Amino acid sequence: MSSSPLRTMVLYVGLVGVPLAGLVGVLRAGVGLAAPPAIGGAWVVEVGACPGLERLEIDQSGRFLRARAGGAASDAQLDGARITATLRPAEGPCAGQTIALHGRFTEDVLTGTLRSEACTCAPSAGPRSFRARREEP
Amino acid sequence: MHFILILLLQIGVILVVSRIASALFRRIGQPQVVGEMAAGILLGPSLFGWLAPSMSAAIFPPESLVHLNTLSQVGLVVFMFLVGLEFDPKLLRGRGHAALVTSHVSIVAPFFLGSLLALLLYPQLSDDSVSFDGFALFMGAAMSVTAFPVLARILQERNLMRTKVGAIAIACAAVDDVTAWAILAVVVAIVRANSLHTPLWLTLTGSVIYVGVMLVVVRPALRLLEKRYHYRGRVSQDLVAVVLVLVLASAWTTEWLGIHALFGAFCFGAVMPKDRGLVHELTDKLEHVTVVLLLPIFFANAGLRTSIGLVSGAEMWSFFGLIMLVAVGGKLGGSAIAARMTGLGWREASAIGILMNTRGLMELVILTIGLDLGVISPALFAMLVMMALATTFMTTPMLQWLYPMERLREAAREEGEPEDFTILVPVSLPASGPGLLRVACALVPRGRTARVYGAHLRRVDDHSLPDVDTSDGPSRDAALDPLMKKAEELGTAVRPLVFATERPGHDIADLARTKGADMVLMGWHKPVVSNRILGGVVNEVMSRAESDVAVYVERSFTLWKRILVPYRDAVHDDAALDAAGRIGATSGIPVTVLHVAAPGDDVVATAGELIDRLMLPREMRSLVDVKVVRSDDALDALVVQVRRGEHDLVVIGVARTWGLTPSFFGVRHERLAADTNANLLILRKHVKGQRRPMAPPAEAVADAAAAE
Repeated sequence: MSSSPLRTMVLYVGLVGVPLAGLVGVLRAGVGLAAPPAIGGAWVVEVGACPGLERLEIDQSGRFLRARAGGAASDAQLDGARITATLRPAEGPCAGQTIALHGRFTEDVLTGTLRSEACTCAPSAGPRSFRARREEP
Repeated sequence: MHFILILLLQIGVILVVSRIASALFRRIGQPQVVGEMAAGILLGPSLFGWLAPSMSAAIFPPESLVHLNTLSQVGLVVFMFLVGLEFDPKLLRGRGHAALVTSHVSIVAPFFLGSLLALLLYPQLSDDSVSFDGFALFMGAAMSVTAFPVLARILQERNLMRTKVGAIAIACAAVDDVTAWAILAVVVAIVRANSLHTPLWLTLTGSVIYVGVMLVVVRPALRLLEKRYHYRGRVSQDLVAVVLVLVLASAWTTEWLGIHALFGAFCFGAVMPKDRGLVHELTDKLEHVTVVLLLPIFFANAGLRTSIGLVSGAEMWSFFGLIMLVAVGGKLGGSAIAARMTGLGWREASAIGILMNTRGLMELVILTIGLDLGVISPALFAMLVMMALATTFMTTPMLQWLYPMERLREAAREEGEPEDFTILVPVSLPASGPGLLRVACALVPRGRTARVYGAHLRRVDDHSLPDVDTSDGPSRDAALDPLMKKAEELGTAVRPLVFATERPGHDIADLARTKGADMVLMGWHKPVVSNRILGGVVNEVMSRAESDVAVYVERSFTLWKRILVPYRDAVHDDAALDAAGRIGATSGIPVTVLHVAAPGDDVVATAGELIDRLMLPREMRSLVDVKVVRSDDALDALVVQVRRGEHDLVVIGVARTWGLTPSFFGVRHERLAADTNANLLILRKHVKGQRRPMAPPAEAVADAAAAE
């Protein structure tokens, strides 16, 4: 294969220049993209807390969440500003029970409901409303 | 529990698990780093924390990890300095357009694909606290990294350094290393500017000034250190302290500027003088604690933050699949295509791609920075860690499959370039120095440059202080003066090394390894308690040195006139033939090959083949005489020949056949030395990959079996 400077230059432009131009295009295309809101961290339930669920810790990886409450962790999902989680606390009066959390995130406030089939704290007939605030680091 | 108790316990656990995992992975042909990375993950929530959560929480309580993290950061600073120290701009020179194009493509292609992948991953695995630009650039940087140290080690282990594939791969990795760190510095600056820690203008202006000062002021100033090293002949503790302080100052500056402390450490290493001896000794002094103690802590620290459990469900695993596809496709595919298009064959081009795909520790360093900065989320971090582990793991088997060892050896032979031939000459008796230097110079293969280290190792007694600085005393001159004077006469550069030792044999072998010696050349003088040539220190060196070893027994100080090489069939006889050929070629002295065969047996090589093995230039082949002798007693035949007095230098391989096998004790009579007066040069060949070359000598066992 020939190794003339012209050929090298053409190769260089093709193999290096084109991807670099592509990179610029990607950065421009990404300007309009929106990532899920950052809700990772600790949340303190100020109103409507069930015993043992006064504090909620959320590990966030984009829209995939891991919620820790009542000494246990469970997967959760973020859809826009809406959060859905199924908590199974290991301690407190609701230990071993399944509690469904539906919430909405606005700035530093998380509001929503807790609902459980078996736990009296959050009966399914009348779901318990809660309000949580982001804990200061 | 007090934090120091927890910390010590943690370090102990980490070291044990790390060494066990490294040993297991080495057994399956993997680099040590793969085992260490795996050990870190095993200790984290992915395995240990999952199997025994209470024990994991007791040994690694979250609040204690700050101490572990601090230690690992210090270790990384030193390690990045060592990586920079290994970076040699000479690697980039004269590699031609193939290296230029391949290196740039090997960065740009995965970088572009990584940023393209960011378009998909940003809405899924990131959050709005991170800008898309920072995320995309970080993904690009994470995809384009190559583990320069791991790659260099793989090339060395497979003897690929001097092949075209090795030369291009190492040049590309060096470019990638510098570029990846520069890109990362920019990404860190952008991310930190977004979080208003440091104004971007200050970071950018300061970074430009910093790099300029490093190149224009610091690099020339560091030559003073190099001069100091040459003056002292070794790296003193003071010199190490000065270097470390400067490393820390550089790391502090870049951290303050808003890029990362690791960039400063790497940059300082990169501008250090590249004197081979200085680099070797500094590395040797800093590497052990860093690699054995501090890096495993870093791996464990990274592993403790890696939760593979976060990657759950088909959707997450499909993201991981895409990351692997982009990482391998961009790096391996991009490098291979570029190398192919610049004229290399598919096999060589693919080998370059496979090598460049090695990410190893460097990827982990970059990922940890990304996690600390919050640019990547914990789940993405776990995926990228798995990608780093997988791409590093796949390198060795893929290379082995594509480029089997036999083919590599052929390539190394065909494409080998002349380079330094390093000989370590330990001098015990000052008077033996000049003779040893004469032999050393004669043993240098044609086309290669002699690099001679003259070493004097003084024994220490139980009461002496372990202060290596005492080597400035008069004994250095006394021991090495005759050697240095001879070196001046011959116009050969010899680097003197003097230090105290309690185990000279061990330390000579270690020194040979540290200096990358091709050969250790030792003299022999009659010791106090034994008459054996190949006993004591010589035996220790022969048992331990991972290089060829030659022992010169000087009986007369006259110039050699004719060389005799006895030959039967052992591997060390080939080494003797090779050495005799080199001496013949450099000195123009005739060589006689004494081929001893048992009566009735076929000779193992024809005269033509033996002359070929001497590898003499065409014009010197007429000076070679091959004599075939039939005898049941090869040693007797040799002694008879030497006693005729026609040869004044006998070059001979270590073998039982010739009455020469090293041992600590023993009563075997070295008849050749006792019954003749010729100068002897005894050769022990090091077989690559054999850690204890002479324990036991395979050919000696075979000879003994044959004799019985």
